Amino acid sequence: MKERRIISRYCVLLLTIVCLSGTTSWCLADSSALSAETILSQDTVGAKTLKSDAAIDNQQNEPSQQQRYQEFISKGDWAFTYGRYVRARNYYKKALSLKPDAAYPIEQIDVINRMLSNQKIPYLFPNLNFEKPSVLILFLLIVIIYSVLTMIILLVFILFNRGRRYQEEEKTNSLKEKFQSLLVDYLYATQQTASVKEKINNLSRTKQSRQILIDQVIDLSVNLKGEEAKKLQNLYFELNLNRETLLKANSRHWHIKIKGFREIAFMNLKDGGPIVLRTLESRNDILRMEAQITLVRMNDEDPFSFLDHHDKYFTLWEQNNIHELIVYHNLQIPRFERWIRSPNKTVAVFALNMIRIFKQEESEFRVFLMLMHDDEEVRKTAIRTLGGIQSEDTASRLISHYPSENYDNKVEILTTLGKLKLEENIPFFKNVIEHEEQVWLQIEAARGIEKLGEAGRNELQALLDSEDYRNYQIILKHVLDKRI
Amino acid sequence: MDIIRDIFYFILHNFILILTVIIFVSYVILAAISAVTLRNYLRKNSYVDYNSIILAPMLPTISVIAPAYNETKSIVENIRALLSLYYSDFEVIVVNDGSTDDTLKKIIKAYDMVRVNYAFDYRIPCERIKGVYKSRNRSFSRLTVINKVNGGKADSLNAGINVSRKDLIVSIDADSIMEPDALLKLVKPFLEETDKKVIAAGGVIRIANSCEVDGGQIRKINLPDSFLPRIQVLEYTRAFLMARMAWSHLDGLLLISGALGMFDKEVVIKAGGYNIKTVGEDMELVVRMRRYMVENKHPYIVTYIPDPLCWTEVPSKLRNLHRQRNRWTRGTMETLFLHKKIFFRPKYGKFGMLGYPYWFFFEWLAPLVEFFGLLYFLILAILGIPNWPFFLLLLAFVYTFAVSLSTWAVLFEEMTFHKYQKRGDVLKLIGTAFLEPFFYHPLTVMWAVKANFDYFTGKKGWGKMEREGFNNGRHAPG
Repeated sequence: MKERRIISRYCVLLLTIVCLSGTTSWCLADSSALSAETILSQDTVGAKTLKSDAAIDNQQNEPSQQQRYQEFISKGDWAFTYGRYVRARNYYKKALSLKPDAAYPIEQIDVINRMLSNQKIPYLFPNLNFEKPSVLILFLLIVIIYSVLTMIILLVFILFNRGRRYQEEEKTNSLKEKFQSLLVDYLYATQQTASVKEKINNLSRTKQSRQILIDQVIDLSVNLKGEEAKKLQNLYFELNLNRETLLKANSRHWHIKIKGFREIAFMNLKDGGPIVLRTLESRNDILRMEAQITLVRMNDEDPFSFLDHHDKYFTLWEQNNIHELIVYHNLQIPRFERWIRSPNKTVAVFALNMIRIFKQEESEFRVFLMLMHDDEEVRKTAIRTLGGIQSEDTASRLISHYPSENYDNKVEILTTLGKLKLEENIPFFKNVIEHEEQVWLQIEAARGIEKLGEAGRNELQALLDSEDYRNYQIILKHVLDKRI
Repeated sequence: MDIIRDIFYFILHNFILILTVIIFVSYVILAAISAVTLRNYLRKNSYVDYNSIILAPMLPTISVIAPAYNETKSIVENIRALLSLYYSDFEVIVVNDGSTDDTLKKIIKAYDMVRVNYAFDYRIPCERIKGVYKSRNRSFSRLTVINKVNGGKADSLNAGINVSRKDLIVSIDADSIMEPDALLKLVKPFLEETDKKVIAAGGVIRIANSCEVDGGQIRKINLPDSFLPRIQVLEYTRAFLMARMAWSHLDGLLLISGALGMFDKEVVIKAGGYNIKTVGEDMELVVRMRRYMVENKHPYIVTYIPDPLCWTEVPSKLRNLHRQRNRWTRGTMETLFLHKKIFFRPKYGKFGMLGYPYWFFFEWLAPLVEFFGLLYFLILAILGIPNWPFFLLLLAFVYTFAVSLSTWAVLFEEMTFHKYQKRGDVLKLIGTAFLEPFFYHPLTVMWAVKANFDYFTGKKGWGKMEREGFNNGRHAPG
């Protein structure tokens, strides 16, 4: 109830105000013109009143009449200046009635009459006077008409679009189901291959249905290998779906091009190679990246050669995509140390990460050298990579490198040393706990001890009980707590 | 001199007229830029399989920080939803900000939490952390609960950042529901980082009122039944799809909603963390991070993605909505005044020359100008001065333009994410658009004025918000 009262109170107050709300600005623009006039005059009545005032004035003495005349002229000028021409004309008329031979009010009335006749839009509002330039009025009217039409058109479009969308979805789903079933028949029911192919062909006569078919072929081919994959690829060529793919790859629109590139990559469509190559220098980052990924997939001899001259930023997104390609398409894994010294630091970081992920231990020495790199991100990745490939010298090299590193890389070194699980590192970890001030470094050092297993936990427990480590109890307890 | 006088009069008489036209033109321009940006985004991401990111080996790690104050009604379900987000390496940090109800007890009971010896640095200042809790159940190992002395949302987020162990932080309201793939989508701009560091990314917030919620997840999307939340659907659609996309494109984004934002943790810490003295901590942080990057000459990006990533309950009662808007306005003012240094300073680029002035004139000043203009007009109307035919023409102009803008917003939604699928939903939204200028807009103006008054009279704090909780809404059958 209280809520309703508040609402009704608001409504009463607002309904008065609200009608004007959106128009405030314009109204103010209009009405501000009158402010000065309002201050000058309390007289806001019409011409009739003015006339009677004038009659009274005529009965008064000469100096007073002159004063009144000046006053009306001033008011008229103000009203004129602020764009209230009808009112200004009334004042000039009033002044004229006091001095019928005065030239100024007659001139002003003429000017106003001309102005008002110019402002009239006789074909639209013959009886209305907005006292604003007709251009402005026309502008407002155009915007109003545009807005109303937009509303109607958009509403119709939205409702129509909904209907169309539902229909398309239904059609697409139905076609998908049919193609899926036919493709399975084609792959596994060997006796009816020709008739199944014919059915597929009949179903895929429109551009839309052919696209659905291509998507289904690709979806299926992802999970197939050997003979079946080849059979599916043959079907793709026999139905001339490759033509659709090449058309897309040649499209002027980048997003359609990408669709084509992806199909080229999936279906290993060699004819598409030159088209993809042409896009390698594209200024469109997304297109360029997709072209690179496509070429990696298509280039059997040296798929990663593009890294040799890659001078653009090699984003994490691209790096992960390339990694995914290697893993899911069984690409031959190159020795990534080839790019470890790339002038492009993002390529170097990628190479280091790949060395770690694919455990290319033979690159160990080159990775060590990267600890001297100028870029802290490259050094950080090198440290992580050393942890991944775990050679004999790793611990000693990282420990000697530790003092010269920044905070982030120190954390990385401690984490890496922890992974190595070497008891000989315990003194170093203890040293870090005692001498570093940042909690996270102390925690990582303590965690390095804890990772040694039972021996490490015993060591930490001993430290916890020791008087010397009383200040580090919270760190040690944190690490010993298995729930954290 | 006459020319100068005429120019002066023209400016004097037409100031608000010009302002209005600029606002309208800016809406049109922003909508156009948004449309292009949205189209490119949708095209670009139409081939992306976000699930492939889950298994990617080179990903930043993420802490999702959810401050909770008296969230007893929905906290358990919301944590469950957070824990089931799709991402490989993330943690959920729920910060109980000295709740006076049984929020903490409910979490402890539902997730089998125990207090642990947790070591952390107070790298950014926050109120005393009384305890950190972890679950005995390994299934909830991603969950960390902080119990701290009450200090407000910003303070809770700072506490969460201090405890965070990950590269990126996501701030989220505990009463919001994230889409399961929200982290995958939000992290993508960070993965696409080039020579400019991505320091923050925001996503679209949608309205969960009347939606069917089960197990902390949105099961069925419905347009709100009540009038107020439905108006806010329009408002959010306009703001997120028609404005922020454009600001992101123009590099003038000043605000990433507190309901959901992803930030580079180190930059947040270096910028000083959340400001606990403002009620608009979300906007203030973004502005401060941007300032930090500019002043230290680090190239950076603040980005924004249009996918609906988070669902939140909006106030359905006038009183609560009033408090929320009051807080938003005060937050805006605090941020604008605190960072007045960047106002029209070329050094800050589009952020200082475009983004900040836009907020200053159109978000802060415009409602005030509108209010005082209204008052002034009323006085003149009482004196019988205005030209009424012109007034009616203007009324029609502003009204039809406002409704058509909302219709465009409905179209944007329809052509992009198409979340409200019932045929009647469109008609309801358009109907709401027709009523909004009369019943809602004036309220927002009045609330803005009141907020200005509160700000200058020294009112602080968030004001008490009552939540209905998702449990009170409809449930998915079964």
